[in-house]
Amino acid sequence: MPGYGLSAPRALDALTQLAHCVGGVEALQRWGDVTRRLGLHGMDLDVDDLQRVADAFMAQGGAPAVLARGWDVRLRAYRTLTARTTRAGAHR
Amino acid sequence: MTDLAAVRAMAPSPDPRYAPERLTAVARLGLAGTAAREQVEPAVADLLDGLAARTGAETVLVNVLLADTVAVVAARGLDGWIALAGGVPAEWAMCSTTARQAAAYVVDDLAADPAWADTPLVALDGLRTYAGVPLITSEGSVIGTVCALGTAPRTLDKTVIEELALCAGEVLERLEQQAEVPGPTTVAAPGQDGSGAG
Repeated sequence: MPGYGLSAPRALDALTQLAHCVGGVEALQRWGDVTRRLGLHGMDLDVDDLQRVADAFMAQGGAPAVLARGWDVRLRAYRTLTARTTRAGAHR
Repeated sequence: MTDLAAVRAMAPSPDPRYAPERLTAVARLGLAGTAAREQVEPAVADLLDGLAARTGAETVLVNVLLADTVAVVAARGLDGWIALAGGVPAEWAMCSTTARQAAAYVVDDLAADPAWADTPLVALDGLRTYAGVPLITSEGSVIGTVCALGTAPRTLDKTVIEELALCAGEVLERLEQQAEVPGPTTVAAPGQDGSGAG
């Protein structure tokens, strides 16, 4: 994104954070449980799907919910700045 | 090795950002939900009003440090995209430095500081001054910060840090009290519990 340069949040980055917290095996298990329940497959998730994953983890509570709130803030920042950049471009 | 195989091989990190005890403390204090600001801000409103008045800061914030973002849980004088987003990426936030060093951090002129001059909050949003202190739980976990921000450079003397530190202590106390109250009830700020009405 011009100016702010914030990349779209990625599922793999979120999963890696979870692994930093609980270890890789447990992270993959928890991630798989949530994404299966949401009907999501693979790691190529768009921002809407990643938001659903973040919401699901936030609802679970505990340490993973705190990580998920972080994903949520990054997603919101990305959406807000993308919308602002798009509006600014439309007015040029 | 595929990305997922690399993840599977990961052990829990010693990095304090991911420490379960720190993250659990954030959750226990009610700072992790999307509604945290609605619950925390009324409980510390008088503290932030006083801090803003005594320091002359345009914006004062209580922030929580997540893994790679900083979320605002109470604010005075905050608007624009950060208010809409509810926080900022940690790599843009001076509060990340405050948390990392677990001590007060002050920059009189961010635009003149090579560490910050080209970062978005300074170059694009016009932030010029920063002073912050860490919020450290009684168990020693750095969970967030209290900070004062401005859009004009100025010399921030030690009284600003003293005010921030005093405020941080009171904020933590109220967060702890709030966490001990069962259910959704929040701690009322002095004079806001109805007992002083009239």
